[in-house]
Amino acid sequence: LPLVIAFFFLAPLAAALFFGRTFCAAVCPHGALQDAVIIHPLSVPRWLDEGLRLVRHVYLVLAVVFAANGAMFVICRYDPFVTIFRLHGPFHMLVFGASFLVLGLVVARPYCRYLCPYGALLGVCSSLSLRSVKLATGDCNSCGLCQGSCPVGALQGPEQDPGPLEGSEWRRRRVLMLGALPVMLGVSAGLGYAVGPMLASAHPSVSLLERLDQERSGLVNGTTDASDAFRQQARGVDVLREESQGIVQGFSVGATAGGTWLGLVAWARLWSLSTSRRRMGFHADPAQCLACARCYESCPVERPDAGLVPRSSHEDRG
Amino acid sequence: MIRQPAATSDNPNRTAEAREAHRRVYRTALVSAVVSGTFLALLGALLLGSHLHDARLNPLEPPEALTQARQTLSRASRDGSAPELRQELSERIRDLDLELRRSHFGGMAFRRFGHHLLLASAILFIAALRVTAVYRPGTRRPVTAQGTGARGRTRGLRSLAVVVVVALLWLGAVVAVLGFRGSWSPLAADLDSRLRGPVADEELATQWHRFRGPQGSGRSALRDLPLHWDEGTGDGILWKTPIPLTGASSPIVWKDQVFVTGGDERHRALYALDARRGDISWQHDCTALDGPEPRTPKVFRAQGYAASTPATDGRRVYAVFANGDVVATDLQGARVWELRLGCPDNQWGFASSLVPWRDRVFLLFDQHRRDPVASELIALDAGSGAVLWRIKRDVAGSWTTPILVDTPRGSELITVADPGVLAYDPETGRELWRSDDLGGFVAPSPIAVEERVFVAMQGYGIRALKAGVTPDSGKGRRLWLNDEFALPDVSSPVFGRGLVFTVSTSGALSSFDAGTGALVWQHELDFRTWVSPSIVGDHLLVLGQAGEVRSFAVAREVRETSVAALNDAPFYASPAIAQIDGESRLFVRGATHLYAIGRGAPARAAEAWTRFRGDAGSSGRVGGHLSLPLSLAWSAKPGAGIRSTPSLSRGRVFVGADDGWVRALSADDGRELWSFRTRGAVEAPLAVDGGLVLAGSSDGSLYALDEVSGELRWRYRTGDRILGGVNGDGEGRLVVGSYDGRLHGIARLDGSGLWTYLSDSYVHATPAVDGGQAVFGGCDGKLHVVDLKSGGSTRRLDLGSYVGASVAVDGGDAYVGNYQGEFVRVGLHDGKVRWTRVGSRQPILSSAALAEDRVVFGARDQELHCLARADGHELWAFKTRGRVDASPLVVGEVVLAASSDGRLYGLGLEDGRLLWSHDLGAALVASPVLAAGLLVVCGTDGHVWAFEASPGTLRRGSREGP
Repeated sequence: LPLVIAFFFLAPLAAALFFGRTFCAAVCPHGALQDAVIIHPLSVPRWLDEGLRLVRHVYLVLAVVFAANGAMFVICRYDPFVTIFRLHGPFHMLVFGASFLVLGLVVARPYCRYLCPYGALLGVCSSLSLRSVKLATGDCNSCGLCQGSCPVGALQGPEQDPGPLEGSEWRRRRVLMLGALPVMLGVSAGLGYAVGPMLASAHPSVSLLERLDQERSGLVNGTTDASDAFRQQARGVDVLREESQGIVQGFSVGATAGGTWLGLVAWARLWSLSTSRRRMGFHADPAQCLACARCYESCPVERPDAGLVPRSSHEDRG
Repeated sequence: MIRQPAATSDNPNRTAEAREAHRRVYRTALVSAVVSGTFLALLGALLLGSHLHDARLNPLEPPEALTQARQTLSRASRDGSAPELRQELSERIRDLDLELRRSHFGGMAFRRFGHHLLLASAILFIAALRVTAVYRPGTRRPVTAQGTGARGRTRGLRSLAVVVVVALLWLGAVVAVLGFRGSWSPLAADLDSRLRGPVADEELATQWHRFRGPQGSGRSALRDLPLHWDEGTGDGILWKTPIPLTGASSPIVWKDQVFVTGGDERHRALYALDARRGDISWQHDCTALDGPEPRTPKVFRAQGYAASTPATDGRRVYAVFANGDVVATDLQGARVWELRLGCPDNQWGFASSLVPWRDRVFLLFDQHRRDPVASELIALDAGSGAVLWRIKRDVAGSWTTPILVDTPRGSELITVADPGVLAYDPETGRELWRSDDLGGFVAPSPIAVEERVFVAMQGYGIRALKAGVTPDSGKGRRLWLNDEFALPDVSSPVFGRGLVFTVSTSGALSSFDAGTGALVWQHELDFRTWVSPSIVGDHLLVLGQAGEVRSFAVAREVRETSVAALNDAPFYASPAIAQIDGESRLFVRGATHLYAIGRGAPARAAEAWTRFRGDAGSSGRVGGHLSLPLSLAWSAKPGAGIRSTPSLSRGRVFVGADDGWVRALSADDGRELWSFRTRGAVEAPLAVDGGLVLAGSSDGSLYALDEVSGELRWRYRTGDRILGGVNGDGEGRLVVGSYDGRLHGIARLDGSGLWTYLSDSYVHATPAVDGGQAVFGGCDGKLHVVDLKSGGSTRRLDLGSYVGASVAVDGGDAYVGNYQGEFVRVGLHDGKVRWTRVGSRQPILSSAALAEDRVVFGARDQELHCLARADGHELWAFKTRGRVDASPLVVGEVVLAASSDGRLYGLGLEDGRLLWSHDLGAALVASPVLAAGLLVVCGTDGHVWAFEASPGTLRRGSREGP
């Protein structure tokens, strides 16, 4: 892997560890394109949002497992907007990209929120970030304008503790969640291990072996260019089979790790939902916030602070 | 980002004005959004409709009206209608065609414009929408903070959502895994044996799928047999393909594929040929197997390293070699399994062939050592190669192939060796019975008719035994024995019409009554043979060692029905008889070639130009007659200038160019089939050998490319440029010279170096190969004779000056010109210069073409010279307008020569009279080549021209010497 590529991959992640998903707001062209078409963002029901947000982790896991085992670069192949940037591409990909843009008119940045695998990684880094978006610290008048202005539903209002649930109930939930952790990890990892060989069929060598086996057993008629070329090499099916077995093992290992990751991510969400926390004021969920700064603009306290409007006029009004 | 200008409240009037302005902006934006949105929707629908409509249309398929008009025109020209009518029709077609093109390309341009318009309107629409969103009247209402109760509920729902997603993922994985379990898995190696059983016996009986055909009987179920052919004219020879590695094994046939094996001390291979065209469709290298390499077996020379005939059961092809290596491939040539049994102890070399039966393959692995017993009978699982059973048998080495006999008591596997016939249960390997009445070196295999087994062996008589009766002594089951006549010691008998026929090595053809064993007739053939006779319909086919072919009526009296001959002696393999496209075909393997004989048009592929001067001895001569003028069949300009002499094989023309590309063009129309780039200019002549295109490059490497696909098979590196062509001995050894001063001996199979021979300067020329020796002149001014096997020098002769031309060898003498314009004839055996002809002192780079009594070459004095071979006196000279570096070609009575003046000349061989010339407009340095009715010439401007050498005037197969 060339160092430059590694740098371009890691630098935004490192930045997210300190400043949140600034990459999504200021660098990513996919984000810019989707941001440009936000017209009337509807707020996605939070339960639906919560569920859909796991999808990008599934995509991430698949992409990494396929790429690491040399099968294909899923993310590049199914990049929805590349046809728009290149003004050229397969028709179905154009339709795919256009649909995201049309959806983006009413659901802000759908690809970023629910599918982008890099966004999934950035979200994880960002949620560990040292600094996150906090509005009108101390001066908040709880007007809630910021929450309305956030197109991606990242802004969270004040929360009180312990609410209607008793403290003991929270504790019980935490114990339950801790108990569920090994189960979720184990089951996810095990299923990943079992699914691995199936994913391996997407690898050209494995699919070639499959084709050869089918041709030999008469399950299919005729040959393909790949199977003809293989025969001309006279490498022997056994060599290919051995190679394929190595690939399948790679997929099993990758899918096991991927399953574990998915289990961990899902568990972390559940954990965060079942723990109580005290929060004053409005603040953006760092994992979801795309750092677009619309909230600052809408905040009557922050606007003058940030120099967005003359302080005097604001104070005059007050 | 579009921001609403901050409203200032200094002045209520100004605020109102601002509000009014905002409202105006909003309204304008809204109207723009509606208009552009409507436009966008309409345009989008239009383009989508157009796209869907277009996806169904094939622009390459003309519509009905055009096809009809074309048909009308062709009818009109056939009927000889008035020219005005045809003129009118052609104009109508042109108009229609133009209209179609206009509409197609017009549509494309419209859509392209439409797409841009769509994008522009989309941008406008979204911009307008954004403005409306910003300037929408009314104030934004603050959102009241949600109560904790509501949050509690959302939390519950959100947790549930996460749980549901996780559950769906788990469920999906479980369903996928369960669904996947039953289907193919890369870890299951025994797929085909699980899925498909063996081919039905009825189907096997229709195919010549093992040694001596169905049941090893030597009998074909076909009725007729092609009996008349003439290798000289090519009549009746459908194709004749060189097999890279030799072998005494016989060909087998499965449907439209013919399989043969070949081998030498170091290499072993299985070849599949297209039964129709004769191309080697794949070759499987059986040299590299897992496990330690067995020792090289000692073999009887005539028998070689691949004497065992391969076998197929229609699922896989099985091959065994003299060193005990067994390989199974599928019918497409991919290896299925392999097995190293170890080199057998066999004083004459191993020769027994594999016998497929149901789900298994039998191998008789007899060895001469009897203390302890070494001989074995082995049953292998056909699908996996696993040993099913393996029994020791106390017999001496044998060279026979077992047969299977169906009896009421079950199937019996009949083997023959010293001391007799041994029958086994093919399921378990249990010995059923034996007859102790044979001895010596047993090579003739048994045959069976129903339950009667016939065995004939010189010195021990011919006998009939009954299989499938209660186990008792072999003598008791013997039906008859006749030991009075000359019998074969190698070939096997054949049965037909109540008679058993045998042919002895010395040529005694005998016919015995199958019921009594009495001699019916005997006929002395005038040739020796080891080939087992075959019966097809009413004909008994006998093939002699030197290529004699006779057929006799299968009758109780001697009646010869045909006489024919083949050139590629010696012949050891039994012929295969099969039906291809409803026609009977005879497949015969000679010393180096496999023949397909039958009625029908010969495959064009049979003829080829595969090395610089056309043949091993670099004679530059093609037999037959050529009628001039030639008409241009096609021309192509695939790339940069061409100095390299092309090759022609199986419908492909191979050219190398100065830009480093090697290209294959279709011989039919010059269309490019594949290309491959080397890292330096390709100036060396191209060669084709054993399915490989061999191209030397100025980057110092010799590239071996697959003839069909152009894929790189191997690359051999030398120390400097390669400007000379490759020659070979037809047995897998290639030679090529390099500017590193060496002649390199290379194994064709894998491109490994065999030896190098160092001269004192550059090697520019292509070596000639004659009698196991490579002959070439070097820039050290010497003529080198190098042994092809060892790479050692046999002779070095001083020629006075650099030699750039390739030597032509014929009758033990070499003919070559040097850089000082001297042309010499040298005896290779005695090293004596027969004569030297000093010409104009201008360099000779053109290689000579040899005719019966004369030799023709070009020189830088712009002339073509013709000298008498006997004494070197000049018979004629022909002046062109440029240097003649290209080598001429002698075709019958015509000399074809290319010159740097850009012309192709056809001269009379007799007197050098100009018969024809053709100006091609570019200097010609590469030599013209002629094969398969096509003369190919390449120019330094990159053109490739192919002339039709009028069909019928060129005799086929004339360059295929014995």
